[in-house]
Amino acid sequence: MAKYLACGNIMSDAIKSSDGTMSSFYMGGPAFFALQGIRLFTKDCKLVSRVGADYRDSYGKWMDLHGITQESVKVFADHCTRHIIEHHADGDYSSTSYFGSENMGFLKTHPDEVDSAVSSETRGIYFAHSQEKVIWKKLGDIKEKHGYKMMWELEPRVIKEDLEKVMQVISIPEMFSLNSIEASTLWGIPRDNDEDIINELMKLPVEMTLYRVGKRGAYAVTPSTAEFCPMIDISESVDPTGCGNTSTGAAMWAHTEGYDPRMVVIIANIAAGYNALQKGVYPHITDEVMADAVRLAERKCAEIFCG
Amino acid sequence: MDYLVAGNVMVDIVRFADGSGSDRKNMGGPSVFAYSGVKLWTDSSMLVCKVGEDFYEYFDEWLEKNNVVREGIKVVCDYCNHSFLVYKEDGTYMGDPERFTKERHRSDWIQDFGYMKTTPEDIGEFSSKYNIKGVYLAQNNDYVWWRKFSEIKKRDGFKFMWEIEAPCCEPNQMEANLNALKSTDIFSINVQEACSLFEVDTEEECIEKLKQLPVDVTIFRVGKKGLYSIAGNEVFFLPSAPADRVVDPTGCGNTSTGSAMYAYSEGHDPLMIGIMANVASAQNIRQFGVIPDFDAVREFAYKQAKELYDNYKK
Repeated sequence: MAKYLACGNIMSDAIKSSDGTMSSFYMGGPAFFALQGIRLFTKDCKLVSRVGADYRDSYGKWMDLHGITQESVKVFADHCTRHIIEHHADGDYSSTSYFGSENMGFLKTHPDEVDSAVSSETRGIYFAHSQEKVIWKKLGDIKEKHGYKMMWELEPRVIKEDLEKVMQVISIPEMFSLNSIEASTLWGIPRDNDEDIINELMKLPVEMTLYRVGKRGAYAVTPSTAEFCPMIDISESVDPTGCGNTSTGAAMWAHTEGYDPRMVVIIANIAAGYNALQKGVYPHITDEVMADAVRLAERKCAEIFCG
Repeated sequence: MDYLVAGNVMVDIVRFADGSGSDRKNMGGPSVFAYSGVKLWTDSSMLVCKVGEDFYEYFDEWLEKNNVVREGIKVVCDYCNHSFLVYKEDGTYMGDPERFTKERHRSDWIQDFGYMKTTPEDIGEFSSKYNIKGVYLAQNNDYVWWRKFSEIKKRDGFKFMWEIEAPCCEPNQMEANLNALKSTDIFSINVQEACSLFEVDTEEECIEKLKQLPVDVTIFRVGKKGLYSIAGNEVFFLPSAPADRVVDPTGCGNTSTGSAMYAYSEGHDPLMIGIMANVASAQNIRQFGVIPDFDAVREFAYKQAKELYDNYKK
């Protein structure tokens, strides 16, 4: 049992550089990055995922190190999903599936697996998924039964026509997360026009939207306010892969814990900062690292909003 | 309930090499075609599949008309997989990339295919509930999947037909295939897949390899020519059963494979297994999509199978 759940795919990523060289595979995937973002601030969390049997030597060890129960991690196939990621100059990226998209589809989390993983103790859930009505209806029914809050991170590669589908299900989660490329595509607004995009986001029937604007930082948008926090570097940034998922997981925790939008977006950006320190996830989140992250959040809040 | 037919469902539009084809979307997918191959002979059979919400738009009338048991059909997403099949001159087919792009229902339809794939637990849910004689599935050779499945099969004691999926027919997949065959009683493969898997060029070479597989029977499908039913050193070549009209071969392999599973599980000999597979295929080729009305053709199918069997025996 855990208060906070990160639900969805794990994926090992190799980064292909502009010169064609490729890194080793590093742990990642939306749910795992989000788990990292949550774990930076609370130990009371777990992963809900269909995985490959090869998860144990990497993801399994990381979760063991961090005292995270694997009770909702289910082995469904031989291999975890793997992707080759290429980052582009415009902040977008492309990915190529190593074992094929069918493998990834097979390992996607189904609503009934979320149902099996939640309990009366559950307070918040992160879920990266598409805008499928059938799936969200089921997720909504499960949420009603248990009474937790839910963060929906929009899956990448949306098209303009998806806006109608997004609007059909957006009232189900309490929190929403998307980046500027996705928002620009959905609403047909240039991606650097924060004002007009935020205007649309403020109309959404959710408590809070984490609107991620790449290297510039992120906004926490509510129906009545939009708080901006620039990117927070913990140290030199090495790899941005997973920063969006990580910040979204952390924002889910912060909003559910009752933090105001300023602290939510700061906490989100701090989590992204830790994620960017290396390829893959932060290797060991000690108690000291957790305390540092909280202290940094308090300091940044004072600097940015009270300074 | 005696038979489970599991796997993916598709909604197909077919275009032939000469430009002709179907103008509307038809019911299809390996499980639906294989189900028709079983349902032709017995009503004691059910589909086990995950589908999109639009499934009933295309399938409801057929389900109703044929009293298809709906218990194993689960709606898990908005859309079934819609495929646009373009046949080549040699009778093989591929997806139409232009239509896949234009008319897709999700950004990645192959991912959807994975999302809707059957798990061993999906089969186990019904094989534990009913006294199942036989199960059909088109499946890959993933070790984890087969480990879980073998436990369910041991527990529930049914016979299993494995129709191999094309990506498993590369030569480097043999070890994983042999692992899967440990839990397989009857196996189905087509000539293109067998040539690729065994790195050979002729049907005869394929047959020599297939004879060595550790299964009771293999259905070796050789396109419009028919099929071979192989049981150890016994090999029967069975030309396609005659049909009163030839409209669309899509799904004939799945249909014949489902039918062979039924015949095998009922205890028929390898000759009859092959004949019943061909008879089902001859019913499938008479229209776009699946056999529309099983009651209307069942008696004829039994009669045709008996006549063909008697002829071959002479």
